[in-house]
Amino acid sequence: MSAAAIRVQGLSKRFGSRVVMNDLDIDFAAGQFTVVLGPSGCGKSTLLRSIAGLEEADRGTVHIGGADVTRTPPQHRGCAMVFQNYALYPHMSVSDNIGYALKLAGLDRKERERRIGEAAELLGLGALLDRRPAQLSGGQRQRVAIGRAIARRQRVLLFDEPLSNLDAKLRQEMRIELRRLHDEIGATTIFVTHDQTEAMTLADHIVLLNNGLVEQAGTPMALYHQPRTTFVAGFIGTPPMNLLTARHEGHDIVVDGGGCFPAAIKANSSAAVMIGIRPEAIDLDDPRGMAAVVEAAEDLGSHRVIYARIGQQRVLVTYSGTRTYVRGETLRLSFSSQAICCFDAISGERIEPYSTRPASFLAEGCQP
Amino acid sequence: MVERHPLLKTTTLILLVVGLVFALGPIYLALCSASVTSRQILVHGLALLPGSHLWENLRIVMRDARIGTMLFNSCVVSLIVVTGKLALASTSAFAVVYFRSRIRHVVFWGTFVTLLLPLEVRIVPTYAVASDLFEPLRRLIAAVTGLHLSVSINLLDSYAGLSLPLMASATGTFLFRQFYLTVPTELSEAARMDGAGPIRFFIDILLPLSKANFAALGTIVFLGTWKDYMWPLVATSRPDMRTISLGIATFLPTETGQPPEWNLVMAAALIALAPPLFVMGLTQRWFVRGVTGIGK
Repeated sequence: MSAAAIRVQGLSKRFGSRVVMNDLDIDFAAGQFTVVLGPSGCGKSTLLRSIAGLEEADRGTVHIGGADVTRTPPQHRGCAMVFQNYALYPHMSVSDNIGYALKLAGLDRKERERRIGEAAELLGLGALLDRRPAQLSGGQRQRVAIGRAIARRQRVLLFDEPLSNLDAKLRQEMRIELRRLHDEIGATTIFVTHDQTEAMTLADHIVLLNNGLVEQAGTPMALYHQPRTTFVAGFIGTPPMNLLTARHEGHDIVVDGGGCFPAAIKANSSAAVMIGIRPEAIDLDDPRGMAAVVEAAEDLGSHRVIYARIGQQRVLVTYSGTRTYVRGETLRLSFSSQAICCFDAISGERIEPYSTRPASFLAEGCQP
Repeated sequence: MVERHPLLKTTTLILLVVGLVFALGPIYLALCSASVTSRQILVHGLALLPGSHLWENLRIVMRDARIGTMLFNSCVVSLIVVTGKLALASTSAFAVVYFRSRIRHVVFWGTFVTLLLPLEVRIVPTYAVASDLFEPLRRLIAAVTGLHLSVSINLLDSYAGLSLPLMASATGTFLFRQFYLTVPTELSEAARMDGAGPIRFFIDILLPLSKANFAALGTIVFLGTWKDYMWPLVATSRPDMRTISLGIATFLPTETGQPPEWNLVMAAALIALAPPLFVMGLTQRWFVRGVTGIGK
C-alpha cells in the first residue's frame, strides 16, 4: 500500500447562498497525517467528502497521486473512509463488515480472511469478529469502522470526525491508537475534526479552515506559536491564547487597562492592535508587572487556571505552582516580549515585529 | 404515559374484551353453525352452541372438487400479487429515495395520488383494459398513423388478469419510502466507498434491513388479495378461475326451490380462513416489527 499525495485546486462549493468552500488550494503530502480543523460549518467535511467523491464541488479539481479524479466515482479513487456515526452495516457481523469491500473487490475467501484477521489484530477486534454492530460498545464500533477502512489497503484514509461520539477517555486512547496505526500503515491520512486537541496531538500538518477559507496551514507547533490571525490564536490551545486590545505608540505597545512594553512593529502610530499571549507564558508574580485582579481560579490538580482582569479585559493564566489564589487578589503579570504575537485589530492579521528587545518585561510604565 | 389507576385498568379491560368479542364473535358463530345440520339452522337460525357435525360438514365441502381449484386459484393469485407488489413497491421507493432526479417528486406524488383511485373506483376502465389489453394503444396508433392493428390480448379469466390490476400500490411504495428515509445516508455512502453500486447496495444492504417491512406489507397484501371479492367477481366468468372468496357463495343454491345449506357455506368459510391464518402465523413476529417500525 503506497501513499499518494492529494492536491485540491480552486475547490468551491455553495449550498444556496452559503459558501462552504471558497476557492480552496491545498496540498496533502504523501504519507502524511493531515488534520483539517475548523469550527462547525467551516467547510471541512465538505472538503473531505469532495476528496472522497461523495460530494461534487461546483468548481475546482481534485488530484490523487497525480491523477485527476474530479469526475471519478468514489470507489475508483483509492480512498477508504471512516464516518462519524460509524456507518456499519447493522445486519452484518464484524468480519462481514470488514470484508464486504474486499468481497466486492473480488478477493478470494482466503485473502479476505487473512486481511480481516490482520485488521482485527491491529485493532484488537479478534474476539468480536462474529458479533453484530448492535452488540458492540461505541468504542468497539469505531474500531470496526477503522478496521473496515484499513483492511481495504487504500492509498488514502479519510476520517470524518471519527472520535466525536466517544467519551473523553476513549477519545484519548483512540488518538494514540490512530497515530500508531498511521505510523504502521503509512497511508496518506486526512482527518477532519473540530477538536483542536485532536489536531495538535495527531497531525503532522494542520489545515485550519474558517468560513470556507484556509486560515492557516502548517505544523501544529507553527499554528501554536505563530498564529497567522486572531482566529487561529483563539482556536488553538486549551485555554486559547489571550487576546488583549492595545495601541501602538512610538516604539511601545500600550495595553488597554494598563501596562506597556517596547516593541517596534510595522503599524501606524497610535494604531489599534491586538496582542496575543499564551496563558502559560505569563508570569503572575513579577513585582514590576501590571496589575490584574483575580476573578476565579480552577484547580486542575496538575495546574491551575486563573481568570483575571486587566482593566476591562479578561486574561487567563495557567500556573503550575502550589500557591493558591483567591478571588479579588491582585496579580502582577509580566511576560517576555518574544512570547507575544501582535495582530492588526481590524483585519485580525498578524503583524511581524521588526525589532523586539529581548528579555524586556512588561511593566507598569515603559522606560524611555 | 401509563396510568396505574384501578378504574382505568377496568375500563381498558372492558374495552379490550368488547373488541375481542366483536372480532371473534362472527368466527365463533361460523364455527358453531358449521357444526350443525342444515335442518337445525333452517329451524333455529344460526347456531350459538357448537354441534357435533363439524367434521362431517367439512368433509362434504372438501369432497367437492370445486373447492380445491378455488383454493389453488386464490393461492396463486395472492402469491403473484404479493411478489409483484413487494418487488414493485421496494424498487420504486428505492428509486424515489436514492436517486436524485428532477422528476422524482413528480413521480412520488403521482404514485401517492393513486391512493385516491382504488380498484373499486376504476373498475369499469380496468375491466375494459383487462378485456383488451392493447385497446388504448391501438386507438392511439390508429389516431396517429391511421393503421388498424388487430392484436388483442384478453386477460379476463386468467391469473394475469386477476393479479395485475391489484399489483401497483402507492401504500407499499410509501411504506418502503418511509423506511428508507430512516436508513442513515452514511450507510449508502459507506457502501459507495466500499465499491457497491446501487443494485448491490439495494440487494446487500437495504433488502436485509427491510425484512420486517417485507413481512408486514406481504402479510397485509396477502390478506387483502385473499379476501378480495369485487375484482374476481368482475374479471372471471369461468367457474374454474373462481377464487375462494367468490366460491363460498357457490354453495348457495342457484335455483329458488332448493333450500340453502348454510352449514356447508360456513364450513367452506372456515376452510377459506385457514391459509390466511397460516400466513399470519408465519409472519406474525416480523409483522409486528414491520408495522411498528422496530425492525431495524
